[in-house]
Amino acid sequence: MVDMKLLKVIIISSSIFLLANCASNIQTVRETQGSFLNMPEPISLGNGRLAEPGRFLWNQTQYLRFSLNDDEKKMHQSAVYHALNNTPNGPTTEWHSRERLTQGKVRVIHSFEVSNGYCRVYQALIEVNGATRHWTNKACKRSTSGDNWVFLD
Amino acid sequence: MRILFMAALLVLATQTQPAQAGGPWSNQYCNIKIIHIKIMDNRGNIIEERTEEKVECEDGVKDFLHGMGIADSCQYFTWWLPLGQTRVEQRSIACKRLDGGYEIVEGYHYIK
Repeated sequence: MVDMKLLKVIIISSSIFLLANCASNIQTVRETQGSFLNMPEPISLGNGRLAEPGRFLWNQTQYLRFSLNDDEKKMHQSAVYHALNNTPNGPTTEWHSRERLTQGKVRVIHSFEVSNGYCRVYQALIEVNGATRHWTNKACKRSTSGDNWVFLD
Repeated sequence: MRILFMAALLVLATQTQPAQAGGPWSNQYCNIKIIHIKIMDNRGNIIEERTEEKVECEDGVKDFLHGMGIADSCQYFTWWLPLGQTRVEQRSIACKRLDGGYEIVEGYHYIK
């Protein structure tokens, strides 16, 4: 009888030990190399926002509420259009200012076809004097939009 | 003795290769750009009209970028930006870095 109790205790304690060990081994999947490592995790657009049609051709919200000078704005715009038109999903297009501690990065993270065209989801990051903001946006190019990229934000 | 001299000359001649300009880029160091200049007065009359040839050499800079491990290639890219009812073609330079990413070169943004 005592042996049976002892056996139960051993089984229960070993089960608890095994479960605890499994739980401690659960790790989030992280990339250890590649260009994705250089940027924070992108903000998810969600299915609702992803399905929304774009409204903007190019507006000031692309500068993520930073007060950029004209050269920096041009470089960021160049980076966005370069990423959309010339790069596959993944590689970053970056820009740096020679005058002050300002830089930006853009990478396309997802591309998909829609009726009359295709859309690309991209992440943009701007850093000014140590302050960093990043945003996920969607741009679509359809035959109905006059071959222009139309942005969600 | 003469045979030896001729043989040495032959070896030297076969070993000599044409100079490879432009490192990993191309065999051309420079390009000739043709510029048409028209000088007009306030009334629109042409005072002077001439054509100039300008030699532009840039492979040395590209070799430096590659040699320093900064960029693999640099090239112009264009895109269309809607402005009002029209579309304006824009142009910039992007360098493909050795890590696979791209970098926009500051100060080379033009409206075509």
